[in-house]
Amino acid sequence: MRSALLLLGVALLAGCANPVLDEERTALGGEAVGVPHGPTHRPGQPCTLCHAAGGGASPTFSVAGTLYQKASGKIPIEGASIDLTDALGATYHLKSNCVGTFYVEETTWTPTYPVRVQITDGTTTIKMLTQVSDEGVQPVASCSICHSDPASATSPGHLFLDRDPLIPDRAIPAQTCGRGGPGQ
Amino acid sequence: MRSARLVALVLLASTAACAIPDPTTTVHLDCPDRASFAAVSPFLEDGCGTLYCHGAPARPLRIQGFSGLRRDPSDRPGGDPTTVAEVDENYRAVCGLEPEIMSAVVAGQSLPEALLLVQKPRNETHHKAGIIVKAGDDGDTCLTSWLGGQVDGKACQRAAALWQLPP
Repeated sequence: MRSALLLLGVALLAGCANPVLDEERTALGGEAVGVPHGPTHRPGQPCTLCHAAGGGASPTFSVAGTLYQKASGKIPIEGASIDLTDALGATYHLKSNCVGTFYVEETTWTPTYPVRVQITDGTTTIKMLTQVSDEGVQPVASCSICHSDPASATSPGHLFLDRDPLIPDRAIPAQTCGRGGPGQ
Repeated sequence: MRSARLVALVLLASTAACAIPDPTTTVHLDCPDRASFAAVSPFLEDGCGTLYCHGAPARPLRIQGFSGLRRDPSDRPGGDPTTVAEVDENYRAVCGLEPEIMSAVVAGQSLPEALLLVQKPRNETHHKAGIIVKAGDDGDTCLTSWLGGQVDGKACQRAAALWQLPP
């Protein structure tokens, strides 16, 4: 009787999994060789597929994303300020790390949606054209859920700061980034 | 014998349930006019049509435009301004959501509040995104005035502006 109940419990738990999200996580692939779990792993991927309630990874994020220099490439920007303003006027400021990634943990700041986003490096400033809305289902707060590559009619492409392709490339973050260097 | 009849009855009912609807059947649809919808569409585009909400291709009431889903594959969200073709698509999406009720509203046989188009953003019928408008505010007035045949263009402008970034 006890083992039957146990089996039923396991079956019910298995039934609660979300196969769509499971498939999306699997599609992300494995970790890059030599990059440990931490703030620099998996840049550009939708962080809250895993770093959200039920996602299996800790900590959980309320907002997360990765910033690049231009639309045409994937050179990250380190040290850019990502300024978030929620519906009640509360603000939170993030800095991108050496792989361009930024995030805020849910325990630190949970915004009231919708959220406005502005990004600046002190010279160039861009505002997101639309607001980030809470659709009520995780993992909405990953920028790359909507800002996925390649750019298309359904996506503006990855986050980038320099709209003008003629602006020279900025300094490339240190080669050691993500392998025990800055940002770790 | 009795059970045989019962089985036959169940089989008959099952067959009827599997009948294929007549593909030539049409539903009569009246909708408020397309011209005045041009005032409503910007509010829907900015307030509802973001990429993760009604700008997602799989979402019911698909909304297209500048800030979200684009109709032309060569257009990009945040690229060129909303096109007339996209406003046409938004009009069709709104009118076709509940055609019978929409027709009743236009005929004055039903109140705009009978439509999900009004209930959902108010969250009177559960809305995943929660409350987008409150009864009587600019966004709500934009929708209900259009449905009532006298669109309040200024309310629509103010409602859309709420969702747009300041210059």
